[in-house]
Amino acid sequence: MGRYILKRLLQAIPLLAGIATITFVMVHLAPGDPMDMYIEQRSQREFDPEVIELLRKKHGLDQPLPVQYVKWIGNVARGDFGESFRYRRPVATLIAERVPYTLQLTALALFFDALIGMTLGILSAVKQYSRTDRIITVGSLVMYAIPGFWLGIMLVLVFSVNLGWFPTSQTRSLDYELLSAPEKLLDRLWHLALPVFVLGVASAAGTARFMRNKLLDVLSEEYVLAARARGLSERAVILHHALRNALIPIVTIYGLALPFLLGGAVLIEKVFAWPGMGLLAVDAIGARDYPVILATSMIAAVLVVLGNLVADVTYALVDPRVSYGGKRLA
Amino acid sequence: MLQMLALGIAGCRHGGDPASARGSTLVMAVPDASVLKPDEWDLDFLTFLPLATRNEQGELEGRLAQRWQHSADFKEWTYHLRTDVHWDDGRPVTARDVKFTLDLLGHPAIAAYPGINATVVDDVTVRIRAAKPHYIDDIVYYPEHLLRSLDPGKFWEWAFWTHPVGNGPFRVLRYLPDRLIEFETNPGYYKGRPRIERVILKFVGEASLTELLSGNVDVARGEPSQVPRIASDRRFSIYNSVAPGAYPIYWKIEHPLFRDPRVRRALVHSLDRRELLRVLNLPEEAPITDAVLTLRQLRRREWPEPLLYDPAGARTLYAAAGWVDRNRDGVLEKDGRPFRFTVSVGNGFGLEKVAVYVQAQLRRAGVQMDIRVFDESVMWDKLRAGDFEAWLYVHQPTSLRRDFGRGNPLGYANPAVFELIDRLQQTADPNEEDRIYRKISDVFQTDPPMVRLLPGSRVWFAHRRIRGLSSPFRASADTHMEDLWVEDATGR
Repeated sequence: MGRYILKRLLQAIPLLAGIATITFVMVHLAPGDPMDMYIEQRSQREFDPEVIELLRKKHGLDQPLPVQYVKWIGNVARGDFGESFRYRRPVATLIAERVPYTLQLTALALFFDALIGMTLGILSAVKQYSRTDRIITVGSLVMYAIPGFWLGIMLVLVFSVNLGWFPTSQTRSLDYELLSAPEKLLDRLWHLALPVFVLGVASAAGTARFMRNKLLDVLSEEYVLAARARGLSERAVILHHALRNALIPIVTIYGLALPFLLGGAVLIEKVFAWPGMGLLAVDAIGARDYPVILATSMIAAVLVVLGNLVADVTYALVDPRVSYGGKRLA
Repeated sequence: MLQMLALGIAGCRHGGDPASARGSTLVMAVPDASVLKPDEWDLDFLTFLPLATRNEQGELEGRLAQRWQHSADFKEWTYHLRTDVHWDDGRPVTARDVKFTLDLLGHPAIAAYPGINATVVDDVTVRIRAAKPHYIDDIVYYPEHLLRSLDPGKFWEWAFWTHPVGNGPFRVLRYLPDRLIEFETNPGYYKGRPRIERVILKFVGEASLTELLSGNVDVARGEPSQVPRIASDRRFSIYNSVAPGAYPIYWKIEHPLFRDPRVRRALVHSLDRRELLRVLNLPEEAPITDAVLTLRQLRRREWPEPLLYDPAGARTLYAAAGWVDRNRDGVLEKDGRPFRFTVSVGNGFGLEKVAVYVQAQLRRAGVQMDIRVFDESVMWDKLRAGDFEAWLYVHQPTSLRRDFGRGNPLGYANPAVFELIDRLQQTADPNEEDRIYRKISDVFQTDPPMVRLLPGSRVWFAHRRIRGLSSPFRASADTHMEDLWVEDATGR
């Protein structure tokens, strides 16, 4: 397995280099000059052309694009993503501050997706064509179809502004430092509730539909009939025989869910002012903050590549029929 | 269950109205921690002092400096500092701090104010010289004794900015990245301790309105479109500030439609700007003018009468220029061509909505205006390339040279205006500046390069317990923080 993973990681290098090159070229070919944004939006005084040129030079924007590219890719290879035009701080520091928040959000959304999606999917399958099944089916389709940003705004309006049950933004309360440990935990959960729900609900709806279909497929298999014929309880048949096999494809899709969740987090972080990488990326695009756009794109690309790898490896681990390079992984 | 959990958590976290339970603490919504950067001077003023600021009449008023003189050409200023201002660590503020800051801001790695030379005359006297006439009213000064050993190349990364030692009305108590920065009053502030004990700047991204409505913050900057929602809530007051800038439509003068000044004047007469203020929820008392204004003129309410909304007068001017609706289709024509153009609109500042109302008003006058909305940066590229017919954007007094000076992107070529703008570069005398602005405004009455649709204004929302704000010149909570107070439950 080690060799397989190493091989996949080595294969990822040219892929990431390609993504880096395309992203760099696209960002620089997009219309707009970061100095325009700097001057027009952030200044209350007339900027001397000399100052603008100094700033351009300082950020290396006066150099030809190929030179900028070579310098950038060299720096990235050394782990240096440069300095943000907007925040004037090293991009690596900015990202290091933001990534934990995004991971917190996406990990919990993934957990929510798995817990709620699978539970509803199982319930829907074992009660096929019942009222419960129909409610879950319609509910899943509705939640899957609702855009996350709209749902987020509506939930803020109803549960935060009108009812006051949940906070409207941020990760912690103003008086967080004064709380006891259990209160701190509750406070964190309280702030996470709405963003996690909004981020996880669409994928949970998808999981529920997928789980229902897979479980129904498995329930019609002969070995399930055989288990029933042996007199096992329906509970034992579903939990010990059908569910284990139905879970194989489900588990593997979680590796692929990462890009979906990261993409969703960009909008959700904006709606809930959640200080994650998505919010950083969106603001950077608006401000033509090249170093931040490039760094966040690269990190997203790395996470997606790793997600795919995890999906493939997990698939081999949970399904004994799958082998890589003639050898079974587990 | 979710409801019960939420209520349970919320219940154990807070009780009653969060805003009224905060005592003499003011919580203000700000977008993010970038407000702590040293060039965000509105908030710098909480912790650092400038040499002088502009008072309500737009005149310079001493802060660190108690008096000053300047040379006849306004290139050299000598400031005499107060002796009762101290840094939070007890050291006195001296002329060396002023020189150090100006040298620092001129450093190539920072390049904020290059070309300014400061000389320390004595502990409390500093001479500042620049190649051009100038006055400095937007720089705050930093403690030399704490910063001189730091690397200017890492200026923006200095931990000092999040834990500064200042000399202003407030001092930083704590900074929590991505969440907030908290200030307390500076007991040693030279003007006396401010009445608000604590100020918290909460980083809320774009959620300022929902934070305000939820009672989590007391003060937030808003958008005019949010005014009706806040006006219907008795907990809050609305304050509008006005600035010399404006939101105009610039005409591309080289375009055949706009070459004739009569047509440009007719376009101004076709627009009911009072109606625009009303429908866009802007203060009705805001100035409507076709003039360009200095801050002093704005604050003294010195501006000439605007070209009024006058549909009949507009029709006469259009007709004189050959534009008449001959085929009765509702659109003016000349030589068989309809009066139709496209306005380019930047997607910031809510200008798309303004453009829609203007479009409706011009349609009534027989002018067909199409709207194209661009990302702001795309718009700048198009402007530089001259690829536009009309352009709806922000006008700042500081962009006078860019917008109407030699080589401007509009193709506006009025020699009198060029000369006046050139003269403006050669002076920093406020009286002379006022005179020049008046003359430019006079030219604009007959040869307007733009129509000022709306005044430059900002709207602030504040909980009613926050006192000391007023429209239009004391509406900004950030710049007037030291003069605010919090009314307690008894109304004191």
